[in-house]
Amino acid sequence: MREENTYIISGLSEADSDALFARYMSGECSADDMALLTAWSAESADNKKYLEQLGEIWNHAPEAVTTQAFDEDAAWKRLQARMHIQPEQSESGERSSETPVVKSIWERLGPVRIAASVALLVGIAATLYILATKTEQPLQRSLAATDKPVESRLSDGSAVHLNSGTRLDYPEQFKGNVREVTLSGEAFFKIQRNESKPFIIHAGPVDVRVLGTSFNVKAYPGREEVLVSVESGKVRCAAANDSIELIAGEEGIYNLRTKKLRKVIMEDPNAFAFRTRILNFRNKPLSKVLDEIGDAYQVNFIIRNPVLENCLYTSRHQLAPLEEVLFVLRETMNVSTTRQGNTIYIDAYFSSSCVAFFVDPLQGSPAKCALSEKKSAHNKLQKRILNRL
Amino acid sequence: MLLTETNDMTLSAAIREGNEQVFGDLFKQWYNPLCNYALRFTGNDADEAEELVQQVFLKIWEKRTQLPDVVSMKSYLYRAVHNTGLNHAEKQKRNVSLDSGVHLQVAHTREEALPGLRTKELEKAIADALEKLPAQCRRVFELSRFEELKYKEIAEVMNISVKTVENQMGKALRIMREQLTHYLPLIVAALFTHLFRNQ
Repeated sequence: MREENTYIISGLSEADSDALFARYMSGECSADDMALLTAWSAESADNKKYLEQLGEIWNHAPEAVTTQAFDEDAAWKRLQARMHIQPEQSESGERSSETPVVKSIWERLGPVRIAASVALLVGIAATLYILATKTEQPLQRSLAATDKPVESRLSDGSAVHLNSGTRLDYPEQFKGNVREVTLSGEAFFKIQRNESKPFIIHAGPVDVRVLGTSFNVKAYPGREEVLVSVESGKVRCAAANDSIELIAGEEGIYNLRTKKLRKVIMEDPNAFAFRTRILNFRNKPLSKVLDEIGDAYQVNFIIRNPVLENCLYTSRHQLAPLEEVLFVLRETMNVSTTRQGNTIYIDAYFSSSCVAFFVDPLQGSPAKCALSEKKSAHNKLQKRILNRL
Repeated sequence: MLLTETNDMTLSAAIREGNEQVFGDLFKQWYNPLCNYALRFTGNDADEAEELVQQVFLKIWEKRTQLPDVVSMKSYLYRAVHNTGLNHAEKQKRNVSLDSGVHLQVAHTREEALPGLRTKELEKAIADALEKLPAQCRRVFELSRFEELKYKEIAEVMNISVKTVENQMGKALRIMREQLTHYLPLIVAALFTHLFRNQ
């Protein structure tokens, strides 16, 4: 064994070398970093080994600390109770928790009382108004898919297919010059053609306007992008004073952060996967791959080794159950999948059977490297598994 | 990142306007990771950790009208827990922080515990090595490895530069490796066994 502190990359100080090793472990490496590290690890077996050892520590550290599960739903109820008891504005930062003040809810409202009275009156007035005018308005309905996809037909004959976690608000009858619905989540639409009555979907900040086509809209609340993917016909998307026209095979993407609407050619059929169960990945970064698998099968993925996020993945699935998709992922990417409820954790095996991962980070994804190590223990294992199947 | 890449600016605006639904979703999304992070300031006392996180959220709600446009809600929340945690530890005068031994317990969360190995011994060795790290060094390592924060986020949480984060991370790994040299062949052997068993 060599003396300690000799693991220094030539041209760098000790601290800079250490920082580079750490950047590599935590997935913060730049391309230059990778090149330096690759050259260094090829210099000697000791260097290689050093990186392996750091990888082992990195991988095993979480086992040494306590992790507990907390009940967030119960906790939220407790917090809500406190949110509503505390006065709206706290004048002093400190509040004594030892002396709970028992007051009626009305008293607790304090200065808000007048506002509350006004709000109540407005509310009553509004209710009366709505009741009085109700006969004029078409009855609003809503369709929600909670844990599994739901298919339905609207009054005009259009078919909708809602992915789970999706809500669609629509009128029982379409009156007036347009057919309008509101979507939160993801849905596939096959709209009945009616040239005189365009169909409009309000999906967050994006309005999708069509005459008669089939397309998919992905507008989950809280996500950065709204996606409109066209299967057939023509679709017009409008958002933030901009509008684009999409034809079959095209995809419109609106980014809520940049407020930009853009058009891309659809690379794969994955946009329709929740309905078709056809997934096709070609050299796609793992983080994107998992997003798409997650949307298709309604699960969440968490990559626990950030270094995996940009690994490129290629595979194709047709009507495969989730377990099969995960099996292929595990075997080709050299990762483990741990399921807890709807969340699936992805962990890398930083084992010595995956030496190539540390040796030649420039060569590509760890999976590829691992697979190129023909004689590795991992590979033998894979063969054994494949033989068994 | 992966599952709920949220538009945090919109989020802060919604909270400012008093949208309880949005606030509740945010709370539920981060409650578990934040409580686990808070454990490091409460000497692994779960009740105190929960109370700490509750206080952080309660304060945000009470002062919601003053909430700025938060670019990264994650960094913002971790920072709030971090600061409240430091205050808490100081108030308790328990010095649960890094220098006086926090008793790191062995976690049982991993379904695939390493078989055929003196696992306890190994975990203890890692826990010991962690404890021997200087305070700032250890905080940075914990935020990176356990909370899976990016360097930029760690810098925001701890109010230090990214360069410092990088150096502290490098230092943490080097020190831990020095401490663990004798255990490393064991880990490698165990991992092999594990791989074979697992398949």
